[in-house]
Amino acid sequence: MKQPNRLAADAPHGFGGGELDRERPLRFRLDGRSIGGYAGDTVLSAVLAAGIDTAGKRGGEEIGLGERFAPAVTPAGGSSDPLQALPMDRTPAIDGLDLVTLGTGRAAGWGRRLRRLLPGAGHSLRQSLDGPTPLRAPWLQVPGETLEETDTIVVGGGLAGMSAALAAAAAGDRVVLLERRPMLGGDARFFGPVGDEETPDAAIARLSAALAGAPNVTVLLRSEVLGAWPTGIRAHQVELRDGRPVGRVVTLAGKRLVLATGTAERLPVFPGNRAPAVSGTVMAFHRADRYGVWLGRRVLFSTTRNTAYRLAMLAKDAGIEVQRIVDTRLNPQSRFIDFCKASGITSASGLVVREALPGKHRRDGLAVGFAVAIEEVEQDTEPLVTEQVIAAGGWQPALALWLMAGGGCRWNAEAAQLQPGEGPASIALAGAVAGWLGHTACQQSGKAAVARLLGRPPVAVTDPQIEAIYETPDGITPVAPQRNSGRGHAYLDGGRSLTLRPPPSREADGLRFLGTERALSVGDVAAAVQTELVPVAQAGVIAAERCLGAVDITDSGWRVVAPAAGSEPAVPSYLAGRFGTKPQLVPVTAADGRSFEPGCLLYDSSDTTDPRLAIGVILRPAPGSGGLALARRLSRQQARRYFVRDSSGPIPVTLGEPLPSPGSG
Amino acid sequence: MAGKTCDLAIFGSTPLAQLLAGLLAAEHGQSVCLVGTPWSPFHLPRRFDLSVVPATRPETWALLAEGTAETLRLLAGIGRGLFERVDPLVIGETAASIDMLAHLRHVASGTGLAAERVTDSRIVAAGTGCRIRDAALLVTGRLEPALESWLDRQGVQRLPADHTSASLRRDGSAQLQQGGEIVDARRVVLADDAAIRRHLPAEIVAKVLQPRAVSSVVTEPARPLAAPFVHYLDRGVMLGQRGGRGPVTALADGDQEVLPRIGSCLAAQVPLLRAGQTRFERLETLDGAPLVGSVAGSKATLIAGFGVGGAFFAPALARLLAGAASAAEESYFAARGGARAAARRQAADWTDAGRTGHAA
Repeated sequence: MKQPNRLAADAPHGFGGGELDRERPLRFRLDGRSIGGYAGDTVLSAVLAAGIDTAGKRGGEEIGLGERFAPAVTPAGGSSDPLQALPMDRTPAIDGLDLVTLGTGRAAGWGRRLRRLLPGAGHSLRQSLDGPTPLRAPWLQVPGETLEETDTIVVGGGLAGMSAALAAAAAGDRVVLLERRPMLGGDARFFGPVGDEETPDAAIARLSAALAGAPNVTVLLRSEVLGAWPTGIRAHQVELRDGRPVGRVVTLAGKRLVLATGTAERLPVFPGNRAPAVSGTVMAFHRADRYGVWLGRRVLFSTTRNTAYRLAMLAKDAGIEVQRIVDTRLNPQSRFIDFCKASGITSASGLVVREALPGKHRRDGLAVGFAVAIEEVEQDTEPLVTEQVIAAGGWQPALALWLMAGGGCRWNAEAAQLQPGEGPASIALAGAVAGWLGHTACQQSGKAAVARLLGRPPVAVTDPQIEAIYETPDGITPVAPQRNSGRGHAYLDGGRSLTLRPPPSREADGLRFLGTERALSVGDVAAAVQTELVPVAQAGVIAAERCLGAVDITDSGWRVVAPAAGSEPAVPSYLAGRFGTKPQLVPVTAADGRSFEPGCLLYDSSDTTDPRLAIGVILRPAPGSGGLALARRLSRQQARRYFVRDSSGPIPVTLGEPLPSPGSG
Repeated sequence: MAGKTCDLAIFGSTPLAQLLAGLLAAEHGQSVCLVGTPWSPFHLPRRFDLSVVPATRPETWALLAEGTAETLRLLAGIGRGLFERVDPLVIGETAASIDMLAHLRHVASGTGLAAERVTDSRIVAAGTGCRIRDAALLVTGRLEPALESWLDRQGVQRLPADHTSASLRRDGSAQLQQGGEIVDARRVVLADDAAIRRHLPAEIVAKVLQPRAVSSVVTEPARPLAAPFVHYLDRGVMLGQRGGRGPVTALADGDQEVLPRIGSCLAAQVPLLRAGQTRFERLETLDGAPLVGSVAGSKATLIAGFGVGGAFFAPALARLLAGAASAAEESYFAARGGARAAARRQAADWTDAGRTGHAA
């Protein structure tokens, strides 16, 4: 099968794919389709390279396939073991695998084969994405195995996480480092070298070598942390057993936890922002840099950051036609912008994407319209047609695990970000999630985080920034002006929550669109604040309550165990005082020989039904007839006729001699 | 600086506090300030408001029945759809709680409610249930905005708790200050847990109340529950679901094994994705009896421990505070005062304290 989205092996700047071994081609099956690739590919990268860029349809519109939104796959043959289900982006592509996607509404057998013949089937996994929570992750149901407790857990294998792991190891700690991707290094390569700093490649190589040589550090790659608490984490790992990928869920306790989870690129908010050919800059760079994958051969950039210009130059050098770079900022300045202009890339400023709407046919591409990025000016441009939109939003610290572990957050209006607040003492943040930007600062912050957790002298972190007169600061995530065209859904973020921006007529009803039926991402909440769906003051609470990651609630076998016999008082406390201060236990015998259940009320009149007028209550049935009642002290001169009311009405009873005084709880 | 005065300052943000403030103003001619946190649609639910409670005292059921009728008449006049009729299900699995449910069923039936024993294993997988017909469940989301408008119409001055400073005096009065405005309140009522914790020293609170952790969990839309409201007494879990196939809201007592306990109650619905979760603390009385009155160290009136039925006691509580209570109401609340430990023991009701946390 062709690989239309694969760049040439010798593409400049490493865009041939650093993970690939082009000498070792492979082939596997997905939903019956034959997918080609190379050793080093993930299932997802091979699928994207093969031209499949669509997860399926939601509300009649196609949704793009990507690292944050892909169905789980499982071996063909219908295994129900949730550990056989695997994430596409963390599963290595292996020659001979036969996989099927898991998803709602997926046809089986012949149905699946027939659906592949439908128009447009070639580029889509054809998942039905309607419903509140499509794309399940079955491994969330697995209780998991418990690993041996460690001293320090580090989540995130970027420069900050690697530095933290080495610092903790140097202090004598046993360390477990978990990284979601199949390789270490995080997003450092995306940002490239800065000034006189050590290059990212050199830093990654140096730190990786040091980790490999540290006997007290265990590195778990392809491991996504699903949950975190002050003394541990729960993670899903993909590993190879007998040459086949399998999943495992692990629970790991640790004395200290360093979260070096980085920062996520926000999805600019515009209609069509989840269309298949829309990507973020980091995702696009990572695909090309690691796997030689680039969607389409013509691209249009929309940015609010300088780093997009660097990616545009790299793409142009790799043979991609860069049609235009459109910046939300007015007349931005940066060395990358100057380089772009010098290389002939057309740019425009002060514009935001208004919409990106797919044409009727796949070959028609995306029609991308822009609007002037000034609220008061309602002026739109003629749409441009392209094959791919790379849309750069602002940054959002990846706070999900921090929030899960009980950390707080607050909205920073200037940065348009949720930023970490107070949190558990056993957890430290390092790197970009803590707000550090430079490579050196991130490495220093990893050491500083460990020093704080160990109670050692503080480690200084310096993070010099280029002055604004030389480099225009990054802008905030662009939000398209609201139009009433009714075309194209605008999502708040790029993950699984699929939270929509409400149409203009319903903006005031923010809750309805945020919904209470699904977990939100931190990006959802940030976008909801930016679009004024939720008030700033509520942002931290909403994030703390709703951004807790995907957790499946299952019946794990928890059951009530009866308390030990005799642990309950003879007379329950809720009966204390109800029949006077000195009630008595009285055997009750029914005239018709029936037995009474507890709670049946004893009256001295057959007409009385008001429980407040009851003179006693059955405590427990008697083996033969009647029961034992707790009753107020009765004088022998009182009424001689008594009745117990059960479901059939008043039943005449006789009272026996009172028993010794009861105890009461 | 000269300021305004009011007869009562009600501190609280729950429907009970709001109804109390409004009733005191509307029915009893009191000038009232309500100091509370405005309702936010973005927060996860922290309570259910239901007209039946896991209680066994006849006087509690009698008062609740009268209060429910009054409250629903009032709400029907305030707005549409503020409550819905449900048949809640309460489930006991240990001998003690099954017995308690039997007592509850007979008392509720005697009070005029249709209360049935449920043993069908398709509905109650373990233990015995009690279904009470035609109860009222307040509809959060619709109720709060409607109550806020109603309070404004009744002339209740609403002050935001986060921006109001309050100086409580030993005689039970207080001075409130919000911005440049000062209000002198002749009497203070602390009508919910947050208000009590905020305005009373912990050592005073600890004499009668203890904190208890509660987790609120909301799931994705689920298959219908056995009832719109289900209370698993021995699992310490209350479940609510609106609209038959909507998200489930679960309130689970305690910190231990929250999701496994909730999962055990949703065996017919799982797996379900969690949509949100939060943890908070509520105050419960040490003896299981509701609390109305002051405790040593403060003359402020405390209202606590009414559980899910709290809102439906508002009419009787308003009469009590206005000095217009019936003899039965006087007697009921007197037995549940803060300073009468012996009397309170004689008025204590069922409590689930210490019942949860068993794992198998």
